[in-house]
Amino acid sequence: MIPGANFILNRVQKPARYVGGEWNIVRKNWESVSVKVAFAFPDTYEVGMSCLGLQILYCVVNSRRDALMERVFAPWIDMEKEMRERRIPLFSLESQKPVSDFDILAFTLQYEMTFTNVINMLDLAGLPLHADQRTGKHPLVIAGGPCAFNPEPLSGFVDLFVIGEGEEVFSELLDLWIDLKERANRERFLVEASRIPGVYVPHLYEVSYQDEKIKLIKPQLEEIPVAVTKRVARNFDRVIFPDSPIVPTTEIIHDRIMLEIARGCTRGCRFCQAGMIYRPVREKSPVTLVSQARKLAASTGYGEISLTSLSASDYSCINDVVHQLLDELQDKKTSISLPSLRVDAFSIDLAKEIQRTRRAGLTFAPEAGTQRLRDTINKGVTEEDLLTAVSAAFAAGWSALKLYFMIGLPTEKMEDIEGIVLLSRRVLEKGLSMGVPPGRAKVTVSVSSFVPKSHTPFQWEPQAAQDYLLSAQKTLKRLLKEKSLVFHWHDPKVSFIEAVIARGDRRLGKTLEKAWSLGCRFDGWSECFNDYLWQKAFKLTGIEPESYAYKKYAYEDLLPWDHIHTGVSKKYLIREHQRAMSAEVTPDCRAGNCPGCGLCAEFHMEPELYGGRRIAKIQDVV
Amino acid sequence: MGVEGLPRYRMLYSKDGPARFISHLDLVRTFERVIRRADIPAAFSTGFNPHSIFSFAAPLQVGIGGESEYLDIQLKNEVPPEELYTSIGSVLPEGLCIKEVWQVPDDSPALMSVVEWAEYKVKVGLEEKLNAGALEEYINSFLKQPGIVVRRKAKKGRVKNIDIRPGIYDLGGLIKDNILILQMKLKTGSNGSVRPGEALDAFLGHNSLAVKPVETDIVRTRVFLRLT
Repeated sequence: MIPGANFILNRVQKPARYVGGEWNIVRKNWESVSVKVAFAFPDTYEVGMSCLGLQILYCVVNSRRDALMERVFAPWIDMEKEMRERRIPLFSLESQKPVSDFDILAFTLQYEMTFTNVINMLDLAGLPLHADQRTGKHPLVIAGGPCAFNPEPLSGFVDLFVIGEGEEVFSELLDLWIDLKERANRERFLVEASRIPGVYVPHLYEVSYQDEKIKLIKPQLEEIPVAVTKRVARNFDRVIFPDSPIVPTTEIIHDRIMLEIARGCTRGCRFCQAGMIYRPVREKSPVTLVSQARKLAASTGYGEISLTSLSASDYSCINDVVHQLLDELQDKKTSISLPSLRVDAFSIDLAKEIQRTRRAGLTFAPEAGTQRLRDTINKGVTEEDLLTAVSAAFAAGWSALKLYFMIGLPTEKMEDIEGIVLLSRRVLEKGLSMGVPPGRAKVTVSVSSFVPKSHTPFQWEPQAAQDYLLSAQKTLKRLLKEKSLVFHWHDPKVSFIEAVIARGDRRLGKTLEKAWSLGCRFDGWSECFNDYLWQKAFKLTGIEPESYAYKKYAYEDLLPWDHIHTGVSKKYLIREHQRAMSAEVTPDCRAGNCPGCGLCAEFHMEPELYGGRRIAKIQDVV
Repeated sequence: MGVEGLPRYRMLYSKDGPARFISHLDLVRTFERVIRRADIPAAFSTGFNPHSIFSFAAPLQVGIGGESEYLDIQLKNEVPPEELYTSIGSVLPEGLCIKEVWQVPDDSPALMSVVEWAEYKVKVGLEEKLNAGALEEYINSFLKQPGIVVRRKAKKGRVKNIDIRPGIYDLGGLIKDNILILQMKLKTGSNGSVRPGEALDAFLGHNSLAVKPVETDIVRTRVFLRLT
């Protein structure tokens, strides 16, 4: 362990975050491998260890004989202070070695509000912050994950980005590293790497501006692609999956087995970035899932398996799989949970069957308060669907439900805000009329602010103004006065910064660095977020944040992320945007009609649905 | 504890290295998973959330090592203790190590209720030289006090004053390379415990000894059970 470890660890909160030694970790001999990778999660241990992507890449790299991967997380404020006072550099958990001793430092970008932590971790590792200041004696700094789909704000700090799913491309990158490490310098490596599909080397692209607008994004060399297309894992049923994931000894956010049953979602909610960037839908076969579940239960000792995917109840034979798993795991007393439920009675029946207790509330996400607005965002759920679903939930014994909404959605009006109140009340009344005791009935109304994300049909839309969001929240607070309606809201100031970064370009890099140097850390944590420092950072770097968050783009405008390609065509996004403006819904392609997002043609592949069925049974598409 | 009539096994284990930083609550979770990983006929509680049936002697504070800690576990049927030793021993996270397993009568009293005291070995780096004679005087003068009052945080941010003197059963010490090694026998169990850290601070404070806090290391070397 690090020098003076016991003493320091006795002074910080949750010291187990920093010691490693968990069950199923991989610790390799450093002399026996050709490349050493540190996987960096720019948030706390408890958040990072709940990320399936970490476990997958840990398995991908460590199952190679010639490579090792160790983990490092952002130290919490108290630990950072101890480390800086004692000049302890950022170190990995497995070998407790400084991050600067590794060949590659790989960040995952799951959330824009972790970007100052990325910079802070580079600094704690003792590395020059800027990619152009680092040389071959420093680790190569790479980044991937959903937020890499708009890599521009971090482009000055990162040597290369991996766009899309990492299962294959990560190994290709390591092969290239091993091949070139003795005979090429950093620059040569980066040029070679930029030819690997899915790899984006930002400094090889030049961005020019005209009147504040982006004029051109141009590759500097002929041999590199004009646009970088994301990587997709094909043959998903056979794709590498960690059957011996690390089991933390301290409690983490998702403290259970995460069994990924499918990837991708084609419901087409127009605000949802995950729904666009993880296409196409690929399912694993029930045979594979049962066998993986069995191995996972034996290797981890967890008593609960969570079936994860963007929309678990959309898995085409979820009923069969759940029953097979229940049979398989019965003697082990392992329970099953579904974290993402659809708003329909079918899903509730399923939940009723598998959830042993009704203590954990059920969450539904109607997202908007009126049918018109739900159609605009393509949520395809009717009030009747919702009321049928909640009736089923109340009948099955749940008394506390949570409803999730957004405010500030494009085209939103006062009646949509009031609609949130009316809908929530109707849900509560339904429960009371079905005999839920008034003291126990509870409907939590959780409201967040819409953040326009890149690569979605709403990417051209501005975020709603802060004043508007605040007044909408006030209205909701005033109207949701019943004791059994509990109103939760998110700080719109955080959503504003999130929008600025999500829609940011390269010029924002200096603001991120300034915000970090002023002390911004863990900006996604309400106890750490400091709006004053952010505003100061904008001022000091001459950036008008409103010009990012509130900008309404035209279809012809070049967007900061236009050279990153998800496989979903811009034509489709424009068409979806237009349909949104006239509140027209577009059905899921699994219902039979291809809405022409362009992805299958681009990748020469089709959705991988179990049994080769192209059409899943979808109950709630209108 | 648990269910009557099920075979019960007692385990002696150590907790050191990274496992020192597993809190008591997390240790419960960790053993729950260890038992599920081990190929043993674990007994489960009934009810909505079945969990395996085991219990500890005395919680260990985060950061303190444990050389001889006790755990009782109940199984559905009898298993040779050597088998348990191997099955459990092979699925423990780093820093937890099983030392011995034996069967105890099904109706033995709960571990927690028979703990009387624990022995700790405390190492402290001294700022100034100290000889054995002086140390003995320090210890005697410390123990001669009629009461040793320490402040302990209570619920709701309140602070309680507690006399720990009656709970200090024995205190011995030696000096090695300017490191002070104290051996403490402290009252432990469901009727109240003296924490080694507070006994140490009281001792250092009473004798105005300056130490290098970085070098402090505390290990619980023994938990004493009153067995009839």
